[in-house]
Amino acid sequence: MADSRGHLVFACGESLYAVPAERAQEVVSLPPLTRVPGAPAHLLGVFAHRGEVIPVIDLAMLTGAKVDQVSKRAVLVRVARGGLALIATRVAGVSVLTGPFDPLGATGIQAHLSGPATAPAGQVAVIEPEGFFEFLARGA
Amino acid sequence: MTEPIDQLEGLVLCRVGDHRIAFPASNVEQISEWALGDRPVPQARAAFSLPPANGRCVEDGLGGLVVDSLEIASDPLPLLPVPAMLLGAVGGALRGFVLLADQLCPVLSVTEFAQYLGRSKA
Amino acid sequence: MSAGLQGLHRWVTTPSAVSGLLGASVAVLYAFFTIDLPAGTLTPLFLCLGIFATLALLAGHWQEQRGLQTVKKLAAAAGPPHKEHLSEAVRELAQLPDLTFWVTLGCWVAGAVGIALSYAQATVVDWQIAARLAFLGVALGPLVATLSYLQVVTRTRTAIGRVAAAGLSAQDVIAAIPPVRMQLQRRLMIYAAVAVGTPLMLVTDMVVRRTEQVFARVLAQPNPAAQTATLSAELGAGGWGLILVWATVLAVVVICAYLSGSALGAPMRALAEKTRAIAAGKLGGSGLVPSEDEIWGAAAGFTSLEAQLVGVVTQLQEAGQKIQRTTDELGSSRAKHDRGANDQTAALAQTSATTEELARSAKQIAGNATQVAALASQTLDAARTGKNNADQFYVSILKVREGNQAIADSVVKLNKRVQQVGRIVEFIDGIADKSDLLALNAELEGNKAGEVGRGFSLVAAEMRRLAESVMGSTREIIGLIHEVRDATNAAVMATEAGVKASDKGSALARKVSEGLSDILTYATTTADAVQRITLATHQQEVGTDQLAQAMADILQSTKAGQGASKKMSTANADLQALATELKLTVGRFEVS
Repeated sequence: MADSRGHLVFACGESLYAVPAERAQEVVSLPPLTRVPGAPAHLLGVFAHRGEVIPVIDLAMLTGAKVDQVSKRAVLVRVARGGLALIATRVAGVSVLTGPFDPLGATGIQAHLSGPATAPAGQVAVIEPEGFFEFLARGA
Repeated sequence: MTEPIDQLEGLVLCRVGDHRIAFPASNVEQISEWALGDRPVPQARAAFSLPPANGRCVEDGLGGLVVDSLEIASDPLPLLPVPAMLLGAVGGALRGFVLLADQLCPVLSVTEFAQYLGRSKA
Repeated sequence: MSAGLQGLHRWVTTPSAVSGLLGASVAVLYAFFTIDLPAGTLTPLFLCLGIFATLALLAGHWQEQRGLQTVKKLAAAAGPPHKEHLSEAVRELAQLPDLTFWVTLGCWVAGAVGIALSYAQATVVDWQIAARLAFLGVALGPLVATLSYLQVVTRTRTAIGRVAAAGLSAQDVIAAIPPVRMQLQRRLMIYAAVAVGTPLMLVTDMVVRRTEQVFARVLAQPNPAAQTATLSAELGAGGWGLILVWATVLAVVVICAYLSGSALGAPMRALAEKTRAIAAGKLGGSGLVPSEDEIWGAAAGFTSLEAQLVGVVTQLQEAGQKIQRTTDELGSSRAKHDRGANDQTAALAQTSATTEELARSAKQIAGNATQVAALASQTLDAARTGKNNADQFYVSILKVREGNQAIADSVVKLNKRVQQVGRIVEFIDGIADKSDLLALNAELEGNKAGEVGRGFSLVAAEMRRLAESVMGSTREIIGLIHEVRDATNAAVMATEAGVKASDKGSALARKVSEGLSDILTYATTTADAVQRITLATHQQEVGTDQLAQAMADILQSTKAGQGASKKMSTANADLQALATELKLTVGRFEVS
């Protein structure tokens, strides 16, 4: 059970995540971020990229994992309503994943992650970009 | 990307701790001194999890809030729109962002930000 | 005034009146037995006798009292008697016995003549009877006068004693009564004349008158038988009366003789008494011996002699006491001096010992000074060597400092180079990072392009691996650079510490060199000083030897002085013994 589509696999903290390659706009090097008043902790801030304001999300903080690394690198994910950047401590590259792709949970952020899929770099959680975006927009 | 970009004429640039926020100048009616122990006014520092401090009180007709210091930027600046993910952020007080020296600065509505701070406090 | 002088002028003259009355009684008795007084003429005779006796008594008394005016005044005077008055009183009293004698004699002669004349006139008796009465008075006069004299003289002596007791010394009394010469002889002659002449005259007269009486009565008888009978009767009858008269006269004469003997003998006895007392060592005990004539001269002389003796004995006693005191003081001061001298000798002995010790010390010091001189010389050499070494060390450490500085400079240069390399490597890393990012994005784009972009993606992936390997290398290089930087920093610090240490070392070396220079200077000075000290200590050695010798001499002299002092002490003891002896001798005389 393989997904022929390619996924960009990256690490945030201890965990590996993957986004469909078509949603992954590019990998960027982050400039200094601007904090948004009253923003939650996982919203690290915003930065301007090609005339657009992009919010930056820390997946490790969002999932409650340990945060022990800072990174200037982020994966810019594009959905229909806009873009967001996910902090990546390491980018593995584009890989073809093999299943399973079952949702990891029923509620919260887990509802928008599926897996555990297998990539050459290891087991990954696959992000469903649209739902993930909407979840974050609600939360914000 | 395709949305029209507004021009902001006059901006009240405020410093809150190490952070900066801005209000449209047209939105500000009065600026006054505020010190600890004065009448209770919402603190912008609360939005950055900072303790209250003496500063300036920025007021419009409906409400006011306290910032550390402020200055007026009279040059017209392009207002970058609010990203879709943040449309509901800050209680809807966020009006957009301006770029100041390659650094984004959030532009807020005084009344709504004050209300948001009041709510957060409550 | 002195109570002892009250009534003295009367008491002293009383015996003359008593003697007068006694004489008158004898005269009356004699006249009754020896004179044939015509009957009927007795009353006028007694009348005359009474009148004249009274007159004679009054006249005598008046005369005597006139001679005792000062004594009288003294008795009446208030306040303490004046010494001159006392002397005058003594003089009056001394003259009183003679006055009494002559007044009594005069009164008797005058009285007898007066009675005889008055009786003859009044009764027209025979002149022979009147003449006999006058004769009787004249004959008895010396006896009565002598009697009065003897009694008065006894009382006068007592009176003089009492007056003298009122405030006159023996010398004053002696001065008041000048001794008279050749009086005693005359006095004895008078006594003899009176004692022998008066009884002789009276007895002769009595015998003659009796004989005449008997002859007259016998011749008056008409016949021889009657005459014989009358004679026998007369011889048998009148004997007892005559014997009575004779016995009375004899008694008076005996009394007179006894009194005269007493008057002469009492002062002699007193003087003998006094002499015995003086011989026994009692001086000034009984005072003056009142007496008359040559005996008075002897008594006065004796009293003066006694006074002088008292003075001499007192002076001797005082002198003895003084000598004793002086010898005592001398002894005590001698003892003190001896103690002091002993102390001094001890101190001197100690000083002498100390001086000898000093001399020994001086010798030792001189020896030490020589050693010190040698040591100073060695010190000087050592200081010289030390200074040369320190200078050499200073030069060496300067070289070390230069070397350290050179190393530090090199290390700093190296650090700069390493930092440059670091910057280059960082630059390369940045490029590699950007290349990686580019490759990533290219891979992503290639992937998005599907099959068409697969080859592109593969190239991009290779590029990424290359970039990542470059980044891995650059990270290693950066790590190495960090290590080098740390090492160079450590080296810089070490060399800086080395430079500082060598700076300190050079400063210390300089100080050591300076210190050694100073030491050298001081050592030179010390060596010179030691030379002088050595010289001085040798001189001192000689000086202390001389001092020790001098101290020994002084000690010798002091010991000699102590010997002399002992001799003096012995002499003083002898003197003390002599003083005690003198005191004992003089002590035999009790001066009251």
